[in-house]
This record gives sequence, C-alpha cells and structure tokens, in this order.
Amino acid sequence: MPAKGQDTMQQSLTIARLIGPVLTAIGIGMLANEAVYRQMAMQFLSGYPFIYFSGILALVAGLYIINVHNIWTRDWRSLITAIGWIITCIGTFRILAPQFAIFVGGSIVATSGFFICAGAILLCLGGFITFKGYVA
Amino acid sequence: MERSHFLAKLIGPVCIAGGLGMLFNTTVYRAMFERALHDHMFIYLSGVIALPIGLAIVILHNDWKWHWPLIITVFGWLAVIGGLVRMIAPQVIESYGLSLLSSPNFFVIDGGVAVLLGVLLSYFGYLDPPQPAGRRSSLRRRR
Repeated sequence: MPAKGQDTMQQSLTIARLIGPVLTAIGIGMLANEAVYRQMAMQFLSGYPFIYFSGILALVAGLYIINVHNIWTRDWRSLITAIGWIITCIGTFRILAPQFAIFVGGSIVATSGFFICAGAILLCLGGFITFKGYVA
Repeated sequence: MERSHFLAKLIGPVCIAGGLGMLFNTTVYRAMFERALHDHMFIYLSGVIALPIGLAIVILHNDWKWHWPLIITVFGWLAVIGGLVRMIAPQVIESYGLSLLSSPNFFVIDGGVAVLLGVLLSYFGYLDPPQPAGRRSSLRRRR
C-alpha cells in the first residue's frame, strides 16, 4: 500500500497532466490566433447563457481540485491548489452575477495587450505544470 | 473518502450558487434562460455535458436507501434523463422551459429549493464527514 505522501504526489501528477496541456494550448492559441480569440471572447461576452454554463463547469472543476488536492506545500503543487481556488472563485462569480462577468470581461478584452500578456502567462504556467506532470 | 460525501461536496455549493443567483438576480436569470431556451445548439450542448455527468453519478453511486445520499442518486438520474431529452428532442425542453418561465414565482420556488438542497448537501459533505470504519463498528457495538 503506498504511503500518504506518495498518494498525494500521484494526485498532483494526475491533475498536472490534465491541467498543464490545457493551459498550454490556450496560451499558444491566444498568442498565435489573437484576432480570432478576441472575436470569440466578444461573442462569449455578448450573452448570459454561455457565461452561466461556463460558470457551472468551472465551479465543479474547481471544487473537484480543491477537494482532492488542497495541498499548500512550498513547491509546485501549491500552484495546482491555487489554480483550483481561482477556478472556484471565477465559477461562483459567473453563476451569481453573470452581468458583472460581462462588465469585467468586456473591459479586460478591450485592453489591447491583454491576449499577448495572458497568452504568455498561460503558456509559461502550462509549460511548467506539464513539465512537472510528465517529465520531472 | 466516501463517495456520497465527495459528490455532496461538489454538488452542494453549485446548487447554493445557482439558487442564490435565481433568488437575487432574477431579471438577469430570466433573460438568460429565455435566450438559452431559444438556442437548440446550446440545449444540445448542455445535454452532452449533463448525460456523462449523470451517468458517472449513477454508475458510481446508485444508492436507493432512505438516507440523505438518496438525494445524490435522484440528482444523477435526473441529469441522465434531462441529458437524454436535451440531446434527443431539444424542442421539448424549449417549450417546457418557456412554459415554466411564464410562471412569475418560478425563480423564487426553484431558487429556494436549490438553496435548501445545496445547504443540506454541503452540510453533509463538509461538516458531517464520514466516520472511519473502525470507529463506526465500535459505535455500533456500543449500541
């Protein structure tokens, strides 16, 4: 039977293997396909249903992460926990007040360098988590 | 971790958030539901997501004993049935949903029920964690 430390490490690796490539793909998409992403974001923000729906999915995914992986150690695994909490907060916000999500999202998307900055951050973060999940 | 508690930890807060939104953000919710119900693609997509989630719940948790986990089993089966109807006949959901929305008290009743269910599930999930097997059997012996 594996020890508890090994068990939690296995959970961290599993979640990292799922989250890492998704964040990397989004980051590359934002950097390489900025115009389409901007248009897509505008379309996403034009109505409540998709915001609400994405909120439900985000809340379930975030709650799943923080329930199976609420680890605050001084290493890369805290990143996964932090991502879980961020997704939970975003999901709750989108469900409770979709109109504010449109307001906040609209002003963020209108910023000219948003997709470059967000893409670079997501690419770095996703690349690091993917590396930790698959290679290290 | 016991499955019922884990599922309650996931479903409970989602019900609370959705219920609070229905109770306190009624105008936006009404506009949102009306728009979603006119979009068959959106109804279909929600069915594609609801069906596997419901199937996962009923496969892992098909407990029909008269106890609080029954709520989760019923929730799972409703997700399966709702997902199937959404995928097979989105127009049925459209007409049924629009008739529900025409009732002025729909959001108050639905939001209230969702909050109550969510609080109940969150309580059992987060505040009433499963007893370890050894402790449970010793309690039973003491009785």
